[in-house]
Amino acid sequence: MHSTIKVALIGQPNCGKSTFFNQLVGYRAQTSNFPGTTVEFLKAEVTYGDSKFEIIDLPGIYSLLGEEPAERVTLKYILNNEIDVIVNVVDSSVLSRSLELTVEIASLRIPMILVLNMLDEAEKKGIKIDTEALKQRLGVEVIKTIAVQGKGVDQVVKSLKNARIPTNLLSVPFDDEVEKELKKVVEKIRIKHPEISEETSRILAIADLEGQLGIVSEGELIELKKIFMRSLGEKSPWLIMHHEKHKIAMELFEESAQIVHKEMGKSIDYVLDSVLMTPFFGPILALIILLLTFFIVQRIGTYLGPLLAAPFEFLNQQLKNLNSTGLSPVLLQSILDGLRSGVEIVFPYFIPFIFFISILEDIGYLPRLAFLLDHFLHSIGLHGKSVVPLILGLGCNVPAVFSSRIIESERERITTAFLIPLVPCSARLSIIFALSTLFLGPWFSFFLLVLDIFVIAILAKLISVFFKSELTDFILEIPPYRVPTLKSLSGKVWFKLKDFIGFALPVIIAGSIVLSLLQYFNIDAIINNALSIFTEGILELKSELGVVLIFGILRKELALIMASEALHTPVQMLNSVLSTGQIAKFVVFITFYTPCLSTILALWKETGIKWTLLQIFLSLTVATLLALLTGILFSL
Amino acid sequence: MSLNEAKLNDLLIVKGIKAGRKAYRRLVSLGINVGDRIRVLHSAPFGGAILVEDLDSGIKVALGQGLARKIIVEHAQHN
Repeated sequence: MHSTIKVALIGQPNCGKSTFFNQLVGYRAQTSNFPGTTVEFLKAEVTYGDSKFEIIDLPGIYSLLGEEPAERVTLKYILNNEIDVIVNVVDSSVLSRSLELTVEIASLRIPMILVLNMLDEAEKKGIKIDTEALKQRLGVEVIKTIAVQGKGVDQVVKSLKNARIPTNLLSVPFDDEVEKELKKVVEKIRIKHPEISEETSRILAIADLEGQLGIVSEGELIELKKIFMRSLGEKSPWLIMHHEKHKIAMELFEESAQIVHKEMGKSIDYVLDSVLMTPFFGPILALIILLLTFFIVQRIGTYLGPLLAAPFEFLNQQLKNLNSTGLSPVLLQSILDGLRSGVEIVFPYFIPFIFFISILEDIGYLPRLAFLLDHFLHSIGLHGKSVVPLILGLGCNVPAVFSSRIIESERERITTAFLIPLVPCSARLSIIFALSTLFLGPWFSFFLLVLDIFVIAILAKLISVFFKSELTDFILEIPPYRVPTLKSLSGKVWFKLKDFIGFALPVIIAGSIVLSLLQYFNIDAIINNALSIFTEGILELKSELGVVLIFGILRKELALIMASEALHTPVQMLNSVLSTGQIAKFVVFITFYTPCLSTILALWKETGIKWTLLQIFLSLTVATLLALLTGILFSL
Repeated sequence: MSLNEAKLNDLLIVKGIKAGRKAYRRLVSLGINVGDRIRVLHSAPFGGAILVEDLDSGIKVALGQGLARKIIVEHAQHN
């Protein structure tokens, strides 16, 4: 019997840790998302030879003792779980800074392996690394890898069982008075976490004296600060420890690395940045990139849509030809319809969007977009980092809401999460694009997207007026440009697709079945009647759409196919039962109204019930007002 | 002078960081330390963020104007 060996991957952001993780576990592994309290991490079980490993990919962090949400999650995980091996993944091209985290990890006294990843990039920068020097000083296995190419990954796997406890290099002695106070905090930590070593507790105590872990109370902190002022002056123990850590990392770097100066022209990064990051071209190109993405996805969608519809049309015809009556053909038809609406969103819209967003992500464009837009986003109460969740929202709102956790400040995080449901996800885009192309002209979808950006900006501004708090500083590392690999892109698409198929598709099919049952037993008429004041009275649409809008809350992608069913008209012929103005109103309403159930649940989890209810109310109001406005415009 | 007053591409040395403790911790964790050689590569439109390259830690960081104002720099001596 072999027990499972628990391996945690820890590294700084952008060190290629996720690529490394994918290489380690492959796509054969069962991977699941574990939304932690703040930022999620991945977990996978794999077997190499006769040993079983559980690999945990912890969020990228600059320091174990930082206050970013990701840093909290990682530290919490390390403190609350027994880890057998830490694999510290390092971006070799920024070795000196990366080693600061390595020095911190080494003080944890957990067996570890140091992985020098992105060796190719280091070489490009002229950095030559001697692993022997690092091995000697740290007392652990040091392995060079290029994870994107899979180089060195096997060697890491082989070394997992030989991981050794590293040499602790970080010791920061203070004078007696400070030590005495520090000792008290250390004891408090050890009572809470008896399994943590003395050394680690000491480092945690130093971090806590900055008010980072909340073990020492606010009142005690003020007292302690006075004591420290006497012996340390302006410098805090944390700062002194940081300087020490920085010094050790620099020493390690100097001992192990050599910078061979290469006579290079301006690197590709400088050239690209000198276009993409300039005040004039930057924003223009950003807009072009975004619109181009939409344009391409719309073209793919309108091309693939009919192709994918054909086999379903054929099956529908077969079903009709059977001429059987009763409940079973109705059920069969509804399953087919559910499957169809799922397929017609996933392939033409969901996959292309995820693919393009992943390219932007992998190239390193998203942080640059954050840089360009930070000032504007600040002026409407958001943060430069809000760009990432908002753009991810185009794929699917649910993971986007969760990803708003990367924003540190409470207010900016909640505002961002709150606004994400207004970003049209691929399900809604599929409806917008399909109906625009068929009846309203492609310009309509672009007009709607621009309108959407305005609505988001205005609502953000409104929230910032009522929800005041201190704005946080903008500080974000800008990674080098990287060529996205097909493996990484397909991996990203695959993981998201698996989530969609596993979670969304069953709901779509179930929704479709429930709808057909409602129709079969004529219950839909009751719902439609109850809602007709709204659908017919206010929106001036058909009352048959009442049940469609209700089900649209379950899954937005159902709305179009259900509208066609409810009106007993194929999608391509909807203009025979609805006027162009009514179709436009329907599209606008679907775009803005109440988020889907999954998004509501995600929002509830992230922002609480109050914000979620406000979001439902606000989006309904905005959708109604804009739909009415559209109606007026179309009647002119 | 403050970093927000620096001209693009001038070689500078970080002389001090007058930010609050939290911002200070973030800066040093990302690799901007006192004594490092840095330069401003780009600035975003309408007085937005600046893109700073730290030549000693080999990283690039985008900083908001508020933070840039709190970083004290000096022109590096050309040898």
